[in-house]
Amino acid sequence: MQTFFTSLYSALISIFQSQRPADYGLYKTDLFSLVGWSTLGVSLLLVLAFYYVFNSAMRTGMFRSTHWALTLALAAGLGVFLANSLSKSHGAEVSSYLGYFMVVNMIVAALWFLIFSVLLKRWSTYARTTPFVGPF
Amino acid sequence: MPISVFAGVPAPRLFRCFRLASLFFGTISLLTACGSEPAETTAGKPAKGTKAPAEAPASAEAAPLHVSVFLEYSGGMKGFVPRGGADKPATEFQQRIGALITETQVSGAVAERKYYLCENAAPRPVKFEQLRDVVQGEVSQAALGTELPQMLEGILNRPKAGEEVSVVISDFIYGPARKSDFSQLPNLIRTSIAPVSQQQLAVAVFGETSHFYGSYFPAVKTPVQKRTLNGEKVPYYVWVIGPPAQVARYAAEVFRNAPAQQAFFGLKTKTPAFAPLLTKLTDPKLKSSGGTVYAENNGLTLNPSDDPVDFSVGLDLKELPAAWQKPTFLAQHLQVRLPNGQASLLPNSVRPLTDEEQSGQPVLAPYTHVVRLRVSKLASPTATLTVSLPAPETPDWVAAWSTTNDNTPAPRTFGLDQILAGVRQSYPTTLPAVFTVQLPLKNDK
Repeated sequence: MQTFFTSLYSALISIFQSQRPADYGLYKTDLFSLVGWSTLGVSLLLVLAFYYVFNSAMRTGMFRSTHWALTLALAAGLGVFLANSLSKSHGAEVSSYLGYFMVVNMIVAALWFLIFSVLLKRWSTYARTTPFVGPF
Repeated sequence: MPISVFAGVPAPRLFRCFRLASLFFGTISLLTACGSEPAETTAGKPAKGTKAPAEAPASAEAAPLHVSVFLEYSGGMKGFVPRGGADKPATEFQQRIGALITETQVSGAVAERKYYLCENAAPRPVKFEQLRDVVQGEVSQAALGTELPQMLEGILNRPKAGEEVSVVISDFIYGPARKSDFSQLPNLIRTSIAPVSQQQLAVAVFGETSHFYGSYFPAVKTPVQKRTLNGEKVPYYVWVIGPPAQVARYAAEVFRNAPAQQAFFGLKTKTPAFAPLLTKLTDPKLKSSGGTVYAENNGLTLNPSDDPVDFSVGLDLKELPAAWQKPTFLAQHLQVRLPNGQASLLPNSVRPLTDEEQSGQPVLAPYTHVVRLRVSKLASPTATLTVSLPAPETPDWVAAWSTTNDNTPAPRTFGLDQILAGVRQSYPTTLPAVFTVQLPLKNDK
C-alpha cells in the first residue's frame, strides 16, 4: 500500500514539478503513506457520516446535491490541511513540492469522497440518490 | 464564496448546511488533532527518511589512552634544559615539553601514564615530578647516552609497547660509533623500530628548534668532538609511536599545542562520522542544487542526467592532527571517487564549521567540517561514492631540516631524511589511506 501511495502521489505531483526535493526520502518513507491513509480515512468517515448518520440515523433533510458538494469540499479542504500539518510535524521543509503535495492531496481527498459515495450511497435511507441516481 | 454557492437556498436550510459543516469539521479536527499532537513532539528529532547514515561510529567513545613518555637524558640533551631563573627565559624545549608532559599528566584522554628517562638501552621509570625536574633543569648530572637505534629498540621492545602510545623526546642525533654504520642509517632505524613494521604502528614526528645552552655533541665528529653553545638554536623532536588511531588521538587531543613541523607515517583514524547534509539547513550555500537528490535508506538517490547535482556532506575530522584539519590541506588531499560515474570536490568548498553553526543547527552538530561534492554522471543504477584522505608522503620540511654535516650547529639534524626514510620504509610503498568513508548512491531514473 505504501508503494501504491508513493507512486500515486509522486506521479500526480510530477505533473506540476518533476524535480524532487532534498527531503523526498521523508515523503517516500513516511509522508505519502501517512497522509494517504489519513486522507482515505477522513474521506470514508465523511461519506459514512453524510449517508448513514445525517441521512439514515437522523432525518436532517440534508440529502441534496448541494449538501453533498459541501461535504466534498470539506473533504478536499481537510486533504489540504492533512498534507500540510502532517508533513510539517514530521519535519518536511516548506517547499514548492509540499505546496503541490497539498494541491494533489486536495484532489485525492475529493476523489476518495466521490468513490466512497458511489460505493456506499445505496444503503442510505434518505440520500440514496445523492448526488445522482445509480449506477447501482 | 459560500454566499454565491448558496444563492437561492432558503435561509433555514442554509443555516442547517452550516451546522452540518461545522459539526463535521469539529469532529474531524478533533480526530486529526489526536493524530498530529504526539507527532509534533518528535519534530525535533531527525526524521527517519533523512537520518544520517554514518552516525554510529561517532557515538562510540574512544577508550582512554595508555601513554609512556620517554625523555632521552644524555649529555647532548642537557643544553635544552638549563637551570633557569627569573632572569632567564625558558627554552622552547622547556616550554613545549613542560606543557606536553603536564597535559599528559592531567588530560582526561589519558587513562594511564608512565614516565621514563632514557639514559642507556633500558629506560628507567621515574615519577612525573622527577621528569618535570629534569625538564626544568633541576637535575644536573646526565648519563652518557645511548645510540638512537638502541634507544628506540629498548622502548619498542617493552611488553605491550605495541598497544600503547610511546612518546619519545630526543634530539635524534645519530652518530654511530662504528664508521661503517653510516652507510646503513635507514636500515638500522628500520630494524630498531621493527614492531612498527610488524604491527603496523603509526609514527608521528614533531620537530622544533630550541635555544641550547651547554655541550653539543654533533654526529660528525670532525673537526671537533663537542662544542659549547650559548643560546644557538638546534632541533629536537618528539616522536609519538603507537596504534594509528591512538597516535591520532594523542596528537589531536593531548599534543594540541604542537610545533609546526609535523610528519606522520601510517596514521589512520577510525571511520569519521560522515553524512550528506540535505535538509534542515538554514544556510542556503549548504543546500543541494542542480537535479534531484534526496536521502534514502542510508544513502542518496539522485539524478544527475540533466544538471550535475551539488550537495554538502558533513565530516567529523577532530581526530586528525591540527595541520590536517586545515581547509587548504584537505582541499588539496581529499579524494572523491565514483566508479561508473563522475564525482568531484567543488573547489574552495572545504571549510570548518564554526561553533555557532554547530550549536545553532542540530543537523550540523556531529561534524567539524563541511565539503561540497558534485556528481555529474552516474551510469549505473547503484554506485558507491568514496571520500578518502590518502596518507601524504614525507613532508618537505624534512629535507630542509636535514644535513650531512652537523659539526657546525644549525637548525638541522644529521641524516634526518635518512632516519625518516627508515621509518617510511616500515610501511607499504603505497601508504594506506588515513580514512575512507562511503556513501551508497542510487540513480533516480
